[in-house]
Amino acid sequence: MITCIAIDDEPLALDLIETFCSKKENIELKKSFAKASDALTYLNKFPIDFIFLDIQMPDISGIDFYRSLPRPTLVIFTTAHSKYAVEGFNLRAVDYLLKPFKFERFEEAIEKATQMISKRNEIEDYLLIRSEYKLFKILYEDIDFIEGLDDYVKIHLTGKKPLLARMNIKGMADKLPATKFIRVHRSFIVPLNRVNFIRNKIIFIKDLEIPIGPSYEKEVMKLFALK
Amino acid sequence: MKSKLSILAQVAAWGAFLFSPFILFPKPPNLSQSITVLNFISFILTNLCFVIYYYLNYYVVIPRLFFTRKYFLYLLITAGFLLFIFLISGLFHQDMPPHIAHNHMPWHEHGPDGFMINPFRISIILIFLLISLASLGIRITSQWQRVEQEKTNAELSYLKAQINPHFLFNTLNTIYSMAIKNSDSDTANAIIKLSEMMRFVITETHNDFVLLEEELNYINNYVELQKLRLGKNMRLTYKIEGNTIGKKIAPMTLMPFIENAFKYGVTTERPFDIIIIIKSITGYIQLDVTNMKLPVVKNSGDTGLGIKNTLKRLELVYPSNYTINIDEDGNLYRVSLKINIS
Repeated sequence: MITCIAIDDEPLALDLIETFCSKKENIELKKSFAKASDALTYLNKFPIDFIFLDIQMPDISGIDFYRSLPRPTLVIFTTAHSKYAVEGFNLRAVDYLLKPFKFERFEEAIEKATQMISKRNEIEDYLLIRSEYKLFKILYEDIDFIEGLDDYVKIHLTGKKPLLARMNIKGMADKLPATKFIRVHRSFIVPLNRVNFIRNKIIFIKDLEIPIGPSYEKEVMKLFALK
Repeated sequence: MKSKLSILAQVAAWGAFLFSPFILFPKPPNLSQSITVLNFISFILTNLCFVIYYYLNYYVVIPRLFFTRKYFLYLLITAGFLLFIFLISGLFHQDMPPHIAHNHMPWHEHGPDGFMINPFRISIILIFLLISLASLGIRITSQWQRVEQEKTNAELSYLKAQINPHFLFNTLNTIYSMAIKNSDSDTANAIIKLSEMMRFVITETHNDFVLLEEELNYINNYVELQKLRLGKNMRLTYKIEGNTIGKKIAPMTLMPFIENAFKYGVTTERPFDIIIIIKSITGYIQLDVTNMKLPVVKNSGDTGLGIKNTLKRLELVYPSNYTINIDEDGNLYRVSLKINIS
């Protein structure tokens, strides 16, 4: 699941993005903002994958907002203007959607964003997790394994106390790069390079024993057979 | 540039006016030197007063009094000016001795009291009236032109504000969003088509050339919207053949002929045919449009670019690289245009 927020001063423009997002299964629109300042507050607290950002807003231009972001974030600009006017700013945008845009065009932009996010996740060595009302940066190499507990996931870390985050294990698995992590059980995700060995459908990491779930067995064995 | 020129013209005209005595009145042979000099000074001084009067009248008196309908005051001030100029002109002016005047300008009568019939004074009154009326006339004309100009400017800026892209596309987006919300995909699609057309016109048509695909997309949208308007009576054949990718064309070259068919070839009375075939052959674009000739009701104002303008543009952009045939035989109107775009 990819998460996003939308910022636009016009409520009906936000409605449209909400409607379109609800038609896409892999996209979760966390929140939409008519005020850019509220969005900035939100972004300081919650991790999201990308932003739908209007360019012409009364208080701050989307361009200036983008430049003021606390960390590099992927952006799909939405604009009523010609794309040439926007491209002049030389921003590293995922895409520009010219209002009004068709659903097909919207899907195209989402597809671009999805590709960029998975590419980025392979390069990046950390992920952002909200826990205990704070935003944590967790290095992949610090993760021992991840445990799913109904609506929460528990991230077990080397030398630190585990983190609890409000999301299901499916959402967690989607956030992690498939080249580095694998889901081995209904309730477990493990980092590939931490696996010491596998014996009798049990994965050994450090002194821990993690079971391989029957429905994940085939995938796991295939991966390790190749290695 | 224009105003500089007009200032130059005014300076020249007034210069000629100021020095007219040198040109128009040759020195009478047997007149004393002092009288001649004094008379010239008087002439130039008087003429200078006329110049000043003209501009005062033009920039101050007419706008302040005439345009505000204070006609009596206006007349009073005008009379005051006349009196003043009279006094100035009298300061140095020496009447020619009667015998010389009679010899030199025999058509002049010299009355006994020497005031009202004096040709010099009559000429001053005439010139004054001329200048007074001229400045009034020119001022009124320019005022009227300015009002007209303002009106046109206002109309234009209202129009511009409405096709201000920011306003236009955001509004279309709002309506689009409402249509999507109500799951009205027909309306939503129509809005997308209209906005694609508007965007093409606003952002692309000022270019010398556009992608053929974009021009065709514009035509597609136009035809689709016309289908919605015209309903079942229209029997439309609309075909695009050949490879259109990567080719370029001058914007709005094909469109006017298609627009024309929808303007003159449609009726609500009975079924009618419109046939549009666009072929993209290597190096060429061929357009064939056929519509029925119907009795035209001259009511709607001309909104299209017009065939005449389009032909002019074709001649400019594709000089002798196009052929056009307009066939008006029978009850069909058929346009066949072939452009060499290579």
